[in-house]
Amino acid sequence: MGRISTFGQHLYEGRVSFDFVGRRKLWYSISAAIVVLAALAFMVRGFNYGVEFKGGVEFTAQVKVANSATADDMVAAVEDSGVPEAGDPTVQTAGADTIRIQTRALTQDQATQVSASLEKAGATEVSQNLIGPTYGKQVATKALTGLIVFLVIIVIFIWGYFREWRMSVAGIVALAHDLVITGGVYALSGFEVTPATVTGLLTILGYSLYDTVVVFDKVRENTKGILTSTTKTYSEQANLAVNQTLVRSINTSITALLPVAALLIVGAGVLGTGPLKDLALALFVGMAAGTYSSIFIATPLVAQLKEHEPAMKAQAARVLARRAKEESAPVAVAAASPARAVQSSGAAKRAQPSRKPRSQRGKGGS
Amino acid sequence: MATKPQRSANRARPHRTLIVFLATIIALYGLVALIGATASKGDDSAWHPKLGLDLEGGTRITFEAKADSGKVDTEKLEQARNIIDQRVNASGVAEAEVTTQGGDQIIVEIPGEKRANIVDEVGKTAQLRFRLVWAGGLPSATAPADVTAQQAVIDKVDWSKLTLDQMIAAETQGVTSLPADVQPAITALQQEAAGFVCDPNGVEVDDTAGKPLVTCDASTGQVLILSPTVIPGSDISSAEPMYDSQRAEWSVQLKLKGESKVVFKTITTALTPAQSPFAVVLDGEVITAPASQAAITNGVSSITGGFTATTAKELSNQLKFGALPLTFSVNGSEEIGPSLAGTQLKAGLVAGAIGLLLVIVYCLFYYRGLGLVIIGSLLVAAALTYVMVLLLGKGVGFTLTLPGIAGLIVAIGITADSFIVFFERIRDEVRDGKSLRLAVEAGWVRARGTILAADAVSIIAALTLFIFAIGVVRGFAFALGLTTLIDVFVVFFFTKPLVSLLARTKFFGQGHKLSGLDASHLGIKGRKVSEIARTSRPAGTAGKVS
Repeated sequence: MGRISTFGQHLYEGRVSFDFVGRRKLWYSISAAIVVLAALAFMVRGFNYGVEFKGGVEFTAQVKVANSATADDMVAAVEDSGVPEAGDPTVQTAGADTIRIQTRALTQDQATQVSASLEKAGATEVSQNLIGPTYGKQVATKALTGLIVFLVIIVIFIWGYFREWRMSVAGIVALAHDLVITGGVYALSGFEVTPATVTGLLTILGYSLYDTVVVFDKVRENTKGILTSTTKTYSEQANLAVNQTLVRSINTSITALLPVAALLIVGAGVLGTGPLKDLALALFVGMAAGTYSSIFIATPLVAQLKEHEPAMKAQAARVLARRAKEESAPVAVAAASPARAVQSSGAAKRAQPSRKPRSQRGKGGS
Repeated sequence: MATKPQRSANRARPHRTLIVFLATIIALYGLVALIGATASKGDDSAWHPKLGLDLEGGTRITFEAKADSGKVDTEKLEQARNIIDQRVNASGVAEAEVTTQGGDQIIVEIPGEKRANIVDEVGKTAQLRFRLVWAGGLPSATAPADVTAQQAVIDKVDWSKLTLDQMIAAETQGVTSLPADVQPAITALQQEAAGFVCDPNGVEVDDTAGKPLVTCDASTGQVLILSPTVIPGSDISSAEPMYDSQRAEWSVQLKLKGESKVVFKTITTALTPAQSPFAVVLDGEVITAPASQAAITNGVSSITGGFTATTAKELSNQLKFGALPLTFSVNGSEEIGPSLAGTQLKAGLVAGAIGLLLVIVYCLFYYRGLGLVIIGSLLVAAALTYVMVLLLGKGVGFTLTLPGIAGLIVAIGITADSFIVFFERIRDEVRDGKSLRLAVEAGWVRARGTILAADAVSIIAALTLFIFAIGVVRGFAFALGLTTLIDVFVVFFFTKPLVSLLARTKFFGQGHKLSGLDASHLGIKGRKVSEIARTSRPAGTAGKVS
């Protein structure tokens, strides 16, 4: 434990520094690969839409005891009904004596046929509910409207709060990244996409940006007055910010993911079906991706965009010039690793207690 | 950083803030107790959150609209939704939710115990119409007769050619006064009436506005032949139960609007001499057939006849809300049993408890003594959330659904994050060379902005979701927004003052080994956390290179 804290201290002082910003090409490639994979998964497998989206028939029947054996009987009864369209139904037990059977969309006559077959297999009080495919669509359409409005508001909010449109852009890119990955996981896992999933996806919007804002806040703090400073470039300060908030990011994602994991396990393990599970998977994947993207995508992207600014280019040039001067100066003890000065975090140059000579710093860096 | 003057100003505050905050929570619980005390005896609902259909069990009825011609337009659907909503709530069903869905469906969700008559009660969604009584008092047949042939004759006639006067004459002077070309249809109607079985549990007839109707008054068991519609139910502007103290009886006062006032005047003027009745038909069933006792010239009439307070209210509700602009059929009626709902609720609560426990264990493991602060804050947040759910349930009808519970569970993490941001800031400030007491204040100033900005994002998300989404998504959004607000309150008025106070204690302030703030835990060497580092950089440059 002490080690983790010391690690936090080292991160804070820049003694240990991960090069999140400098190695952006690597992170971008990893993310791009995952996103492409997710998109492929979506294209190849598609979503397993719930009955609310694709429409279908839901039969509810009373049985003596609702267990897996009777559930199997009901599946057999559906298969025997002579309605091929009803094949491969989803059967859920609901309570002690009720079984719910979902099939694809059927005509009224076909549904009646299936009902009769279920009754023959011992089910009583078979009710059928034909669900049109419009419900899920309506939820999704409304959600899409909400999404667009939310994005517009949030772009303005981040812009206004940080006075930096680049942060808005980076935040949205990170968000899109999280949503695509979550969608891909759904396609791969074959979990049902229900209105509850839509809820989960919408929550990711909030969480992903929440996390990004925390990191950006530190970036802003670190880069305040950067134009008059010649010690560090914007990218370096941004990288320091990510490192300084790394412990927070880790702790937050653990505390956020633990309850969601509980939800997922209880939802999938205990209930076996239903909105809890659908919601929890979306949240779990989305939150994990959200933490990742704040660190590996959003911040490097901001730094990259920022470095393109002429004023920042000039500032970076001044920083490099000063470093070159220091290195060439005979007094400097920088001989140890001059070439790595940029890569190892510049935070190492901060005022430190004298016991750490410069040559010992930078280990663990980059 | 001007922490010194601030600190002295803050000196007296933490106690006060804490006391006021805790007193507020207690007051909120007191408010719940007050609501509980004013409720009728045995009703302890004030202490239980209002549960949604998925957690409590209940009935969900899906109605599908069919427009008389062409497409169902959204305006009419919304109008119908309002009427059904009013009717459901007027019938005394508590907190039923009526929503439109998919452009042509209306969903009625009635939480609570299964009630057998609920579908009937709400299901009377068909049209309300006023018709003239062409023949009444006919006996019910014992067995239904096949009247397909007769119906074909009736359907062939263009009834819209009949004038109002002709229809009235058919009642006052007999059906023989009608034009000769409809006489075969009249005979068919009479044959149909002869074979009509009056089922006291409800009749099934094809109630079409422009055609005559053979139906019965279930309360008397008598079969009637009725004229085509003379006044549509949509022309009723109001219907209220009234008590006439002189006659000591209940009546229903009825107001009509528009053209129907004139029509009603004509009808009542013609019917009054013989005290002939007209029929009010809902869903093909005669709900009342009052005799006209006076000519009504202003469109305001009262229906009398042995009503009790309840039946008068029931009739006025039927009259008022009976007129739907669309025809509906019951598309599905689903009952969620309490056992299934109970399982879901239990699973949600178990997940919440496990999640909370895991977070607590982690916080203790990582933050040690400070972990207790997180646990305390989470418990306070939980207490505040519970009381708000209770109060909002009473106040604005907030119901807790399964996605809502999921929202609350997700919020555990987001709430804990505020504390983590704060604590990490304190630790950073200590690392920068501040003493713990100074670090708490300086760290707070910095963490505050971050927490507010991040929570603002969460609240914007919850608000947009709540405004734009439907159904399950809204419950989730509400829960998320609520807990985010509570998070802000807890961190400002509980966690921060508490940490300020704790920083003065020996255990935390001196950096005891188990406090989570000891020097070695923070990774600093050479000084105690209660001391200001001698090599400290100027305050306010945390993270900034000198």
